[in-house]
Amino acid sequence: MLRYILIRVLYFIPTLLGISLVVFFLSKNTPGDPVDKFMDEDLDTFESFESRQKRRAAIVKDLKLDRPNFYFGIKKDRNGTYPILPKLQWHGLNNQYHNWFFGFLKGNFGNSYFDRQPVTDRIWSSLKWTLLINLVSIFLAYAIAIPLGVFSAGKEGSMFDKITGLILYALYAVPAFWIATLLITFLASTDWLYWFPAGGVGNLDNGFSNWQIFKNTVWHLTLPIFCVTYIALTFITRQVRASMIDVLSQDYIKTAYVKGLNKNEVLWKHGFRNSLFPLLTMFANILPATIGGSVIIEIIFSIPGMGRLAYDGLLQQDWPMVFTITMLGALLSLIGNLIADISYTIADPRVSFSKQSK
Amino acid sequence: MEKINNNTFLRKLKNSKSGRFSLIIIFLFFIIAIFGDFLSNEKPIFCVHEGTSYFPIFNSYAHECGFSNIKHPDYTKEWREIEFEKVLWPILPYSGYTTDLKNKFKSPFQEKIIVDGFGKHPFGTGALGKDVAAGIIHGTRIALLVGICSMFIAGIFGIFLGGIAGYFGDNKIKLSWIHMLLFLPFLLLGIYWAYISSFNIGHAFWQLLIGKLILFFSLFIPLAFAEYLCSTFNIEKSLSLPLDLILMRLIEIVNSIPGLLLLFALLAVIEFPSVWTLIIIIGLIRWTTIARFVRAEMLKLREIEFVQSAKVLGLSSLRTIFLHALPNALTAVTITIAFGIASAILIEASLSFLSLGVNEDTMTWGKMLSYARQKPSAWWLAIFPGLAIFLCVYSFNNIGDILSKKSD
Repeated sequence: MLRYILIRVLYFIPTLLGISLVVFFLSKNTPGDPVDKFMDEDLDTFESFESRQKRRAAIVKDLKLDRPNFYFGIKKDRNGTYPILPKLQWHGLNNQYHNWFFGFLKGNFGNSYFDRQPVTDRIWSSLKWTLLINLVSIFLAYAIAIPLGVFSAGKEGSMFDKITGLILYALYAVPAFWIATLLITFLASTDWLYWFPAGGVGNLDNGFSNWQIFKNTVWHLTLPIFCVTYIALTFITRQVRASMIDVLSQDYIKTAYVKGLNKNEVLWKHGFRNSLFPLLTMFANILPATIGGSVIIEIIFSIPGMGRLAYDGLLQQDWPMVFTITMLGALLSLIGNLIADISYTIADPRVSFSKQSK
Repeated sequence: MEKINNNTFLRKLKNSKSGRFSLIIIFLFFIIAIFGDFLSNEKPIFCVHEGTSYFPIFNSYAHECGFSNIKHPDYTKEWREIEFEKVLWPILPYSGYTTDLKNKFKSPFQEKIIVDGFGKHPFGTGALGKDVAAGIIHGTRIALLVGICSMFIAGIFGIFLGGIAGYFGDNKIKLSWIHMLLFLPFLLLGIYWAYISSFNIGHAFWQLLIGKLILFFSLFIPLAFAEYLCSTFNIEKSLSLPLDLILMRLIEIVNSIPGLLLLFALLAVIEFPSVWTLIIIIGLIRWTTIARFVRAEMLKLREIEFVQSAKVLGLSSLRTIFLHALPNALTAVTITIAFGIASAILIEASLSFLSLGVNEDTMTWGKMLSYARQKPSAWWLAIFPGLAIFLCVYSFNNIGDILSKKSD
């Protein structure tokens, strides 16, 4: 088992490197010149070509864009063409990729192209909102899905099972952004019911008590959390039901019935406990999925989370923001998958590596 | 083993109530997508003006294909302002982008200002008086186009990579050190010659073609040479190529980045987004699901007798994979493609809801939903396009689900 866990952790590194290479490659191919965004063009005063070039060079140096892209490169000929046999050139560790990737690992995410401030603080605070919404939603989804799944597995084929199955199945096809739009239309507009705010997280000033701030935040986050919960709910319920049906067909469940235990005791004590492990480890797999799903919910409800920040970055052509958040999302989901696999191995040591990867 | 063909698929779908319902819905959507221009258009289908007869819709088709010029009886006027002797209008005399400034944001039940018979909007209107029903009809085409074409791309990648990785696994392709010695440097050299160092041979097309040829030969000749050396000097093939491992790492890389964030990162690179770039992007993201399914099927299939006997008969590996094994994985592929179309339609809708992806004047379901965000009181803008997305996604999901159930 220890060997499996070690191998699993070692696999984490090449995947992360692969993702960082893909993201870096994309970030180098974005349209537009980043230096232009840092040149303060003043059309009223005349600026000589030389001084412009000098200013440009200073910005390039400041952004470290004069460094080579990667650890090694291919050298050009003297007349600027590539020779038939390539000449490799080693650039050393002070290159753009190295600086970017290790800066990312150290938590230094670079400067925004839009307001030129370091993006680190904004990204950390956005991570807080995203994690808050997702964790609360997943918790709620579990709290609803477990009883639903267990009861519909216990009464497999009954009316209750069929109806919940049908409703959840239909809900699975309902896009979350449609639900969000409908909720805003009917519950958060002055024309219909005005029960909830249409967006924002309700930043209150310091003058309010903690209880008021908490109440206000809950009031603002109810609709978005409902939407994210509903994304996770349909999936978790189906998994709970499938996992329970699997357990309920085992011999010891029949033994428990023959022993004369009542149905609820069999379901919860013997059935549910044994189907618990895959459900708990599933949590780590669900987190990345809901983070992906909550992006659009954050945008609709104007919550300053990761999704909103990445979207704004995309519209403002603020590439460091977009690509840092992409990396961060990938890192989160990699860690989630790692935790899921490891906890699954600890819960069920029979899992071997080859079986897992299937 | 069950012989699988289209008939079993259809029978499976027809035997369940929801399967029939989904089939009918998808059939209707296809009809709307194909004949959408004749159902809703600001031009008449047929008209007679001052003794000359026109077929404006066919005429615009011919114009798009380059056969004919646009014929218009009176260029100073809109089609609906012209008085015709005889005219046959489509059911909805509006295109998705036709504006009706007298009826802005009118609900289906509200009284509208009707001029000369125009202005009846059965599903209401959006900003600038654009007709909701016409928008849904024109959005259908985009949704199905994106869903099917992107899954076509994803299917090609997924089936090919998944099939090869599943069949060969980690240790079926054996190579000797000579292969490695010759192959790796020439792979890198080939890429260098084909893409970085440029041979100046006139036209860009020839340059591209020659690049591809150079890449192909610089892979093929060293490999053939290594194979020849191996067979003449009896060199043991002791290294194995971990194709499966490589594919699974690749899939993990693509799947690790949360869906919409990956789309944002890819869209950042594209300067002029259109429906086709969107289709390619979705295809490049969604192939992983198909590859995983095909790989899992292949792992099972390669142990079955008929695949083994194909191998014993001396058929080449590629022939065994694509002509003997893969046709039996057709069910798995169809299921993932059905689910894939649903998810591609959802991705397209959510991107155009965020006004990313397709360009401004293309009318899509997601874009119509985003109008509802601009004016929350317009419930009809939120309900009808959303319902169209829901029906389409539900039907494709349902078909995938029914096919994935074991037959009795």
